[in-house]
Amino acid sequence: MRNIKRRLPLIPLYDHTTMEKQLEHMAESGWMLDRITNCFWQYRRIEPKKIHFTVTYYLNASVFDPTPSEGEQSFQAYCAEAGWHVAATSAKLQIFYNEQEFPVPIETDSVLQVQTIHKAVKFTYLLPYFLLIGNNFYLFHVLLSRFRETPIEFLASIKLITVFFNAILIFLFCFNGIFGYYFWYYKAKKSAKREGIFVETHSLYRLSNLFIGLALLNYILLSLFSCSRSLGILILLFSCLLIVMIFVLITVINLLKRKQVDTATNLSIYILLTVVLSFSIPFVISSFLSHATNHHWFEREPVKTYEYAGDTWNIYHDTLPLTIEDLEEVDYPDYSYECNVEETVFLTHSSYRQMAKLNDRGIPNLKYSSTDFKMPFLYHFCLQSIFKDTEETALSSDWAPHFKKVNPSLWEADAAYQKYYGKDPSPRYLLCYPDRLVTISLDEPPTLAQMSVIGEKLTGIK
Amino acid sequence: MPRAKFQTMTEQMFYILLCLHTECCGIDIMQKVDNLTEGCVKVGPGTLYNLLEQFSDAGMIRETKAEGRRRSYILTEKGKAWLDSEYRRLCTQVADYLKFFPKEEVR
Repeated sequence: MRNIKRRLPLIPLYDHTTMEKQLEHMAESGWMLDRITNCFWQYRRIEPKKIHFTVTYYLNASVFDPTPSEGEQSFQAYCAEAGWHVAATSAKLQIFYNEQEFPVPIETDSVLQVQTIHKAVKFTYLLPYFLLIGNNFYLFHVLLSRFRETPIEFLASIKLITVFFNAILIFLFCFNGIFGYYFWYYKAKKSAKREGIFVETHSLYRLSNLFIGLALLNYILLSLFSCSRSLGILILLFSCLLIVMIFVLITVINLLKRKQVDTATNLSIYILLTVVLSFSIPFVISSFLSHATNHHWFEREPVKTYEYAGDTWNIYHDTLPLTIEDLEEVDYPDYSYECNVEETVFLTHSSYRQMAKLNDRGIPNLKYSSTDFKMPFLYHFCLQSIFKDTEETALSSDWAPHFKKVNPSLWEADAAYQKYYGKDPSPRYLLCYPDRLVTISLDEPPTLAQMSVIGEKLTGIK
Repeated sequence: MPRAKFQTMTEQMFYILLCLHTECCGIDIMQKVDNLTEGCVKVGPGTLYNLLEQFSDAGMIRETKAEGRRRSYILTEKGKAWLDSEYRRLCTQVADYLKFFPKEEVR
């Protein structure tokens, strides 16, 4: 039978009522809180009994103190005088137990109690939440900007959608934490001042844990299944590296405490180490990823490659629904036929390219994309976004890009538009089919016969 | 109306300061208050520790000696003045009460 049990500290720092109830329940089940580590609350086996617990806060304690300070020991001595003994401590958090049936509570002034809790959680609990929610707002801003600029690419990217969904979960997690605290704090402050009654804390910590758990699961699933296998595994490995580095940081602090290094020195070393790691780890990760991307580590295996301008280029032989050979006679053996399909619950976006080698000039190229919408309202939204985008990027009236309507029947489409730069038409077209938008970019304006072939081939894409 | 810090005195503050009219060890105040009020007023150790710190910072009391973790305090003139003003406030309230309920009616 094991004599030690470990539990993750999932209850928020300010929610001492829930902590006390849990500790009392554990004691009645035969488990006594023994110590609090950086990761776990550790319990040891005891005879099941009814024990009173109080969670309180000593504001002058620091996580960097090598030993309890004189003041902290005095505080504990006062509590011992009333029969309260130390179960475990962790910086400001002090947990006492009392085996008397009706002990005098440690805190008997509700106003002072609420003030003490607020001072204890301001920097250790609330500040990280505010920083995280601020960071999240910035992420929302970036994602929404990206969505507004290129809604089709955004809605087709499982990675971006997952990151957006995760951002929502993290926002809900932070909101629950902050709102839950302030909801209690203002109620407790009012009750303490008006009636002298302490309002018990009660956080929705299980909801917070659900949000953060879903976000973590999402992140792991994204890494394993939505990125290329090698990229996904690398992302997870780097995440583990970050965790290891945090572990190293905590170990260094604990080692310094065991060596009785004073608080100020310990804090200085912690700040220095944090700054060094905060800059060096992202630098190492981004340098590695940049190098890997430049050397095509995360791309799929090409059929062959060629060198141009000091770089290596891939050639693929994917099956394309429409090729240059369908439109004209061409005798060129070194085409790359590339197809890329992204699918989400919103749409399926397929992009196709038939490209000659970059060092072979005068060979026709072909680029086109097809977007199939699974939700009709997105079709109109994305179409309007394409038109709006061309209007907004216009810098002058001379070559402002815009679309002009052309005869759609030639393309077997519901509507068709040709892109103009100022007064100059370009061989770029936007074709509207039922629930499908197609963009096509040719080297030369197509003939009527070519338009017909294009329409026939592109309506047939499955 | 919210109570500003040290503007109005709670029962616990009153009895803690009263106990320090003579030099007294901080830890002993809990029992002294309990005896003085016959158990009506209870001062928790956490509340006592915090209030002694606040009184000391505000100059209401001063530390007289420290024997390890046992620190003794005594009321200062400032603390005595505050205690006096609280006494006068309580007397005023008693006097107002006696206007409506004369002494012989008090049981």
